[in-house]
Order: sequence, then C-alpha cells, then structure tokens
Amino acid sequence: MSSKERKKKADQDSWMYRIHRIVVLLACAAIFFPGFNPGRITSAISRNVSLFTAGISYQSLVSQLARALLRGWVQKSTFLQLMISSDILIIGIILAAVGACTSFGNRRMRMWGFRWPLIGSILMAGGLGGIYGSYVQIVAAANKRVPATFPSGFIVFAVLAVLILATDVILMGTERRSRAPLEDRREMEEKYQLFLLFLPVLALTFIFSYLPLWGWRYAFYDYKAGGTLTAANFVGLKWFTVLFQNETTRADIFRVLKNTLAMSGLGILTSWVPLAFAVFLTQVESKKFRRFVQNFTTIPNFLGWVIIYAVALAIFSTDGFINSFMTNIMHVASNTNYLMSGTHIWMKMLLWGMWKGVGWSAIIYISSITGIDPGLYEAAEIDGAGRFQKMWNVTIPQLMPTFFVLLLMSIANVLSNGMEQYLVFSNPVNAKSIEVLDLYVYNLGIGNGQIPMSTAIGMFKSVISVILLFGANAISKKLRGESII
Amino acid sequence: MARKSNGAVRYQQSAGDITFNIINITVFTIFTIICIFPFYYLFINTISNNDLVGKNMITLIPVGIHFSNYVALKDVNDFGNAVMVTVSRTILGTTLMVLTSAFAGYLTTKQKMWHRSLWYRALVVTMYFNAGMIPWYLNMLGLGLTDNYWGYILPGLVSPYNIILVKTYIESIPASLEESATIDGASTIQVFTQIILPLAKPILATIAVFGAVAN
Repeated sequence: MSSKERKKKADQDSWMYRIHRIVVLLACAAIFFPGFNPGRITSAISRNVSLFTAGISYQSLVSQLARALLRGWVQKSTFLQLMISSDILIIGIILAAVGACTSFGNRRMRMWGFRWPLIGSILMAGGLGGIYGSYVQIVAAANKRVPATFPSGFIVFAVLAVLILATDVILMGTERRSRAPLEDRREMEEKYQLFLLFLPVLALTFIFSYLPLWGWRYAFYDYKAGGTLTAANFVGLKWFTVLFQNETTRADIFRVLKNTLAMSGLGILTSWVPLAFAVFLTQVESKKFRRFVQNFTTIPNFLGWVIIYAVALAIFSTDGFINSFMTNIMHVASNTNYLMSGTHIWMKMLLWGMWKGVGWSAIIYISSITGIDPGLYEAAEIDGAGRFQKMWNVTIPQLMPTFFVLLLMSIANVLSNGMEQYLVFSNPVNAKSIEVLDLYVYNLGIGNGQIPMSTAIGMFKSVISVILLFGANAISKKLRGESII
Repeated sequence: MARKSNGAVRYQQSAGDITFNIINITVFTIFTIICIFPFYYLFINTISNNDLVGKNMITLIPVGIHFSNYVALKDVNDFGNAVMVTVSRTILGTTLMVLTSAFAGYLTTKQKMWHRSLWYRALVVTMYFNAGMIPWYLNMLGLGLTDNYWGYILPGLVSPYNIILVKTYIESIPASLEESATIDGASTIQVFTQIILPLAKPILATIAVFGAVAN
C-alpha cells in the first residue's frame, strides 16, 4: 500500500471514529434531558425526571406516586426494577464512553478499547429490557390513575445502543483486518491525553451552563407559571416583535438600557482604581499596616447587598448615624432621609459598588505584585529608577495582562451588572433611574409573571454579551497582539 | 540595606519619600475607617441599652453595654444546624473548586491540547449567557439536585472566572521550569502537582477566598 492510499484509508477510519464518538456523546447528553427519559413509562412520573435522576434518586422517581404505591395500584417492585434498569443503562453508557476515550489512543490502545462499547451496548440492551419489563407490569396493572405510556426516549436509547454496537463492530473489523504495525504498549498522543483530562471540566460546564439553555424555549410560548408547553400555546416570535413594536415597552427598554450602560460605563471608567489601590498599598513599608488595611477593606465585600442596604439604612436613614451625629454632637437639628433622594443615583450606586468592591478587587493585583520577580526591581534600581519610576515601569506593566483580562470581561459584561444592588436600593423616588436591565427582567418575570417576555430579553442580552466578548477580543488582538480568549 | 518582599529597598528617606508615605498612609487609613465604621456603628447599637438605641441616642460610643441580643440568638430555631451546613459546604465546596480551577487553569495553558481554543472559548462564553432563573431551577430539578447537599457544591465546581485567573497567573511562570521537569520525565500530572501547584499558591489562596465568600 502506498503512503497516499494508506492516508486515504486512515481518513475513512477516522470518519467512522468520529461517528462512533458523536453517538456516544449524544447518549451521554441524553442521560440528562428529562425529555429523553426512557423510563417515563407512566405519565404519573414527573416530567422533570431525567434518566440520570431516575438512576440516582428513587424519591424523585416516585415523587408523584406516593398515593398509588400506598393504595397498591402499582407495585413498589416495578419502580425498583425501573431504577435498577436505569442504573444498568447508565453504566452501559459510561462503558461506551470509556471505549470512546480509548479511541484517541494508538492502535494497541484502540484494539484494547473495543471491548468496552461492546459490553456497554449489551448492558444498555439489558437496562432497556428491564425498563420494558416495568412498562409491561404497569400495563398489566391497568390502573386509570397510573396510565401506561410508552416513552419516546426508549426508542432514542434503543437506537443509540444499536448505533454504538454497530459502529464499534465495524471499527473492530477494520482494525483487525488492517496490517498496520501494533505498538508494544498502549499509548496516547499528548494532545489527546490533555483533552481527556480536561473533559470532566467540559462535562460539568455542559451540565450546569449549556443544559439550562434548553429553557430558552419558553420565549417562544405563551407560558404562565405552573402551566405546560404545548403546541397550542406556541407563539413563535411574538414576544420578540412585541419588544420592539409596543411603544411603552420600547420606551422602557431604552430607559433601562441608558441606566445599564451608564452604570457599567462608570464601572469600566473606574476599573483602574483597584489596581492603583494595590500598587500604592504595596508601597507602604509596614507589613502590619498593609495587613490591617487589606483585611478591613475587604469586609464589605463579604456581605450581600441586603445587608449593605441595612448598613446604608443605619447610616443614612432618618434615624441613622448622620442625622444622629448632626443632632447629638453638632447640635444641629437634622432629620433627612438621604436614601429617599432621587438625584445623582448613578454616582451613588457607583460609590456603593466601589465601597463594597475596591479592597476586594485589589486582592488579585496584590497577589500578582507578590509574584513579581524581585530581580526586575533590582535591575531598575541599578539603572537609577526612583519609586515612581519603578511603579510605572515595572509594577504596572507586570499587572497589565491581568488588568486587560478583567477589563475585557467587564466590557463584555456591560449589559449585566447584576440586579441585587439596584433591587435593594430602589424606591419610588429613584425607580426610573435605578432600573437596570437585569432588574427590569426580574421585575417583568417575577413581579409581573411575564416569564416568556423576560426570557426573550435575557436571550437578547446573552447574545449581545457574547458578541461584545468576541468583538473586544478581536480589538485586543489587533491592538496588543494578544488574544484573551 | 534590608530588602523587603515587595522589592522596596530601605535607605535614607528623602523629604519626598516622607511626604509620600504620610499621604499614602493617611489615604489608606481614611478609606479603611470608612469601610469598617458602619459595622462598628451597627455593633455598638446591638450592645447598647435598647431604650437609648430606640431614641437614636447612640452615635460614637456604646452606652449601657449588655449582650442579651446575642444570647437571644441561641433561641432562634435551627441556628446551630444552619451554621454547620454553611461551614461544611463552604469548606468542601471551596476546596474542590480551588483544585478544579487550578487543574483546569493549568490544562488550558497547554497549547498542545486537542482543539484547545475551542474548549477554552466554550468555557469562557458561559460567563456571558444566562438561561434565566426558572430554566436554571428546572435544570437542577431535572438533575435531582434540589433540596440536596450536592446541589450547593457541584454547580460551583467549574468557575470560568477563577480558571481564567489561574491560567493568566500560570502563564506568567517561566516556561523553562516546566520544560526541564518534562525533560526529566515528569508526566502532566506530576508537573502539575510538584511544580505548578506550589508556584501558584498566591493565586490559589486568592480564589479560595473568592470561593469561600461565594459559598
């Protein structure tokens, strides 16, 4: 075989490997989708139970069946069998995943790895068989209140099991027939090793960050809290058009956007403050004083905004510190509630944010300064640099990478400045100028029960943030020759 | 000459240095007082005579000190249990988060990784989109993680922000250290535990504090 032909053959093999891995990946993902639960053999099982939940938590599985089990409409053993079968199915998929991981190895490792998807698909078949057994029992029980339904997820998993088995067998056949030399040891290239080490992190990210995006479908339905999503209340892009066509909504959105951009803009303009804080603090010679300042300036950050608001009340309200100080010590009668004023609200929010966060954000710079090589300072001294020259020419350039990463992230975050701070500080007087986008979404979704509309706005926000992130990254690449992400 | 950890050198101080130090220390002192005074004010109000507090008479110093407000805390139902859960989940959650971030941060510095930038972007992007509160809750419900101890810990394990911080820090460590260890035959895991972890201690301490507060 010429080298060209061998290359072509290897490409064909790698396509088969890709299909195999993708099928296994789909099976892994399907474990977590309640919609694909192959074990929802009766509509009495909660629609929020995924195969994963069914396998680990018997309580969740039978959460809506307490009465049926108590009255003996269905047998407990049916559901125990369902749970154990779900576990076997999951173990089968895990073994298939192990096999898919070994497919990144050298030929000897791949040959060794083929057994795992084989065993895995057999276990999957066993698990599905067990689930089918439970289904037959529910059908036999024939109780109206526990109606048997054949889960569509069952077919999905059956198809996946067959595909895993088929691709595995085909690959095993081609590898057996190939006369490529067999290595002495099972090994894997470093690039794949690193990827597999990173895979658990990706899996967690998928489960907790990408999986919830499935909930974005609420934006396309006319959904009321507690209701269900059916074809009947599917409204398509209605909420998106309402957003821009309705006069009041549009005015609201513009007002809210103005607040959001103003507050984020002020935050970005002052983002150098923690850096300056860290640079000047490390210039103090007394270690005790540095510790003291660092410890106490971080305290406000340890508290939630609700408690900060309690602090604000204690200081600025009618019977707060300022008024009591004026009355008791300065002997000037004073009785103003500073929190109720609606002026300069952006500035005030910025100051509260800084009061809470500056000492905290400085930590990251202080830890970077401790890591700076003392040799750089020595070299600067030999060249005759004074204190400010060392700060400007050594310390600050060393902090720039961290500063730019954080700046870039805050630019991309320009639309999401959180809502807690603005929620606790809002009152009828300042409501108009304090309402940022996050708070608006919250008020709309929780306050007015308009879940689809708030989801639609949330979607918009997410898309814009991601675009900003990549845009800022492209600019940074152009200006500094460095890409952050 | 005594060399300090921050690279400053102690020498005869000039007038300019003294002015700088005075201004510097004064500014920091004032800021620190602004940060802690409200808490001091709240505290003296809790230990002062309740009648005087009601009349708004306590301004700078506590009067009629008593601790009955704190003693009353023990009668609050389940206070001890709530504290235990909080403490244990903070310790466990933070430890696991720091280890995950350190390892993930280290791995993302590896240019060799298969499709590294794709995975890294997929990770970073998660900070910028948000499914919303209700989908998030339904997801946790689907995973069986509501009313569950692990429901506190697992979602916080992978924190892109902390991973980026660790990655940026590790990239500033001279690559020669890692290379020499690799030449001596150390595996990825060995390089991580014996070279990277000890060197990354400052940043790990930082994210540990971040994590503990978030918990």
